[in-house]
Order: sequence, then structure tokens, then C-alpha cells
Amino acid sequence: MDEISHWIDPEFLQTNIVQAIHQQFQMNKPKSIQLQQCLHTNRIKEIMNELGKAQWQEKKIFDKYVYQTATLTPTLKKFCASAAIQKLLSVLVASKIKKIDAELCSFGHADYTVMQDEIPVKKGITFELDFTTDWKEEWGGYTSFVDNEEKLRVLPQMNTLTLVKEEQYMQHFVKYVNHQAKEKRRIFLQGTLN
Amino acid sequence: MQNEWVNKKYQESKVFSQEYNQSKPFSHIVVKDFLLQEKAKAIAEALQQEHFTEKEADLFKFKQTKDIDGTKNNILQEFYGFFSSPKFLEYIEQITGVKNLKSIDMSGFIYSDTDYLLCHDDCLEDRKIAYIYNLSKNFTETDGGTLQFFSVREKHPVKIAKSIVPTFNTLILFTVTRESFHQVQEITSNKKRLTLAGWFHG
Repeated sequence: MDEISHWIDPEFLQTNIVQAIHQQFQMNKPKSIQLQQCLHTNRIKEIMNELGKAQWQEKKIFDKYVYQTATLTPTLKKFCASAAIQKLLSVLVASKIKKIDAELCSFGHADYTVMQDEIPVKKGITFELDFTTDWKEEWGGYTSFVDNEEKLRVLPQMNTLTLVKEEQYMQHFVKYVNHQAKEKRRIFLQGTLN
Repeated sequence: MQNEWVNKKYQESKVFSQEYNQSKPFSHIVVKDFLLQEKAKAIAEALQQEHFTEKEADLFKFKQTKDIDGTKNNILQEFYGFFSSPKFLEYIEQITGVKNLKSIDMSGFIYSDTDYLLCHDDCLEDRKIAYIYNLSKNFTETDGGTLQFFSVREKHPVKIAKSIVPTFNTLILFTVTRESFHQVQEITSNKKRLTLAGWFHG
């Protein structure tokens, strides 16, 4: 069942569209692309169903981050291990992807990550796959890519795949979620393509 | 000059030097009614007339003035002069036990609804003592805006050990170290948290 059409909306899989996405990725500064309504509807249904049963655990080092994480759901585990996905992403970013490292994250009120003083050696392409509905930017919770100043802001949006090539001095953080978010949470898969 | 500014009961630094060094989770002190009442009122009024600029990063969101050193307002100029005077630096040295303080910086801050400052230690260059002089009124715990100190385990902040609700005319001092982790809790009401804050450098 590891056909690419099992995972990705067929609209994205036409040769000319894949080429166009690749070109857009190369042209954007920083190199990046966002694919909305990216996963097949049936996969999203499965994932949303699984997320309802996820066991969330708090992750907290106050000077670095505060948020919740859970084990990858069965479908997300298969997604990250899929050779078809790795092959498609390799074409999109013009770089051989051998591994997808990902964490399932949940950010609610008073959760955040901050940038580190020491910038780690760059290791690949940052990706996010988002499962958040009806989020407002003014609540925070978005991912900000910074190189001296903010270069890209990724807003929480359901079934959106984002790929960002972080050049040498670029870092990202998830903006503090303020009290206006009330009980809402941003849930997404975040990781790196290696 | 101290007499013109500081509440009479605090003219002697000995009053709180012991308390400063024994406080937890790190050396600090909360000095209520720090200045003479009329001075505090005049400073609060003047500060609200200053120009504040929105500042935002991963670690914070608030409004800040330029360094008060450059203000055109008389009372703020005088207060800056007093706070940076050799005599006052000596007074701070006596309270904190930290020697050779040489200079200060000072900015005004306004934290409004959803503004915050996340957990950090303040360590940078020659910062020795951090201070926050609070000028906002009527804050309660439900408004947010408390200054929170963290206890540390294996060099990382692990727990909020103390929360200080902002009260008018209160000065807070603490020694800047690799373990002086603190934050300003998010404001969750329409109240404004007004402070003058900065560092004593050495």
C-alpha cells in the first residue's frame, strides 16, 4: 500500500505540477514551499481519528520549550517511513531524502519554543504537516523562521505540508500561544528531512 | 540626595542586606514603597508620556522606550541621575554585596493584554544586578504580569518558585547569574503593567 497516490492528493502528482512545485521551492527565499490540502482525504480522516486517541505528555525545559508530544500515530509512522513519500520529497527539494525524523506536537495556551544561543550545524530540511483547524494568527502558535529577522511565518492550517531549507544562520521557533487561544491547540508533525 | 528620593525607612541599606542574600530561589529583594510617594507618582505620570515602541521576538512581546538617559522629561532625567549616581550605586552594592558597580541602563516598559517575557537568565556582558521598578496599580494575580523566579536543577529552570504581583512603587533587585531564571507572566486582562527596568553594570 505504499503507492504515492495512497498518500498524496492526486492533483499534486501530475508531472508538470511536481515540476512547478520544485521550481517554486527553489525560487522562494528562503527555499520553501507550502502544499495545502496535501494528503489524501482518506489519510487525513484516519490521522484525525487516531489523533483523538493520542496520549499527550508534557515536555518542559522552561528556557527552551514548553509543549506536549505524543508517539506518532500508526498512519503518521507509516507516512514517515514511506519510500514513496521520501521519493516524492526528494524530487520536490532536489536532494536525496533518506530519512524523515518527526515529532508529533501539540501547542496550547502558554506553550512555546525559543531559539538557542548556539546555532546547531544544519542538518537538512525542516518540514511541518499540520492538523489544526480554525486557528488565528494573533493567538501565536505559528512557526517563525528567523535569520536576524523573521524571513518566513508558517501559520497553522489543516492538511498543509511545509518544507523549508534552513540556510546556515536560520533558526525557527514556535511563537508563544497567548490566552486568547483558550482551549484550542495547534497539532502538527514537525521534523527534518535528512 | 538619597533623602530626596528614597522612603525614609530605607535610607539605610543595612535594613535588607541580610534578607537579600538569604532569599530563594536566588538572591533578591522586593522593596515595597521604595520611593517617596510624591516622587513615585510624578515618575509614573511622566513615564506614561514617553514614546513606547512595540518589541517582539521568540522570547518576548511588550512596548519599550529608548534608554531613559536620553529623555527630555525633567523628572525622569532627575530620577535617572539619582539612580545612576555613585552614591546610589554604593547603596546597591551594600544591599547586594556585589562590588564595583559602574553604570546602569534604564528603559520604560508597558505590558498589555497578551504581552509576556519568557524564561531567561539575563546573563550578558557586564550585567551584575537586574532591577524592576514597578509603577502600575491595582494588579491582582488574575491579571497576570507577575514576575516569576524559577528554581534550578542541573542548570535548567524546572519550577516556578516565586511569583511577585506588581504593586505600585515597588523595587525588585536580583543578582544576575547563570541560574537567575525569571519571566514575566502573560497579561490576561486589559490592565497595563508599567515599569522602569534595566541593569546595574560592573
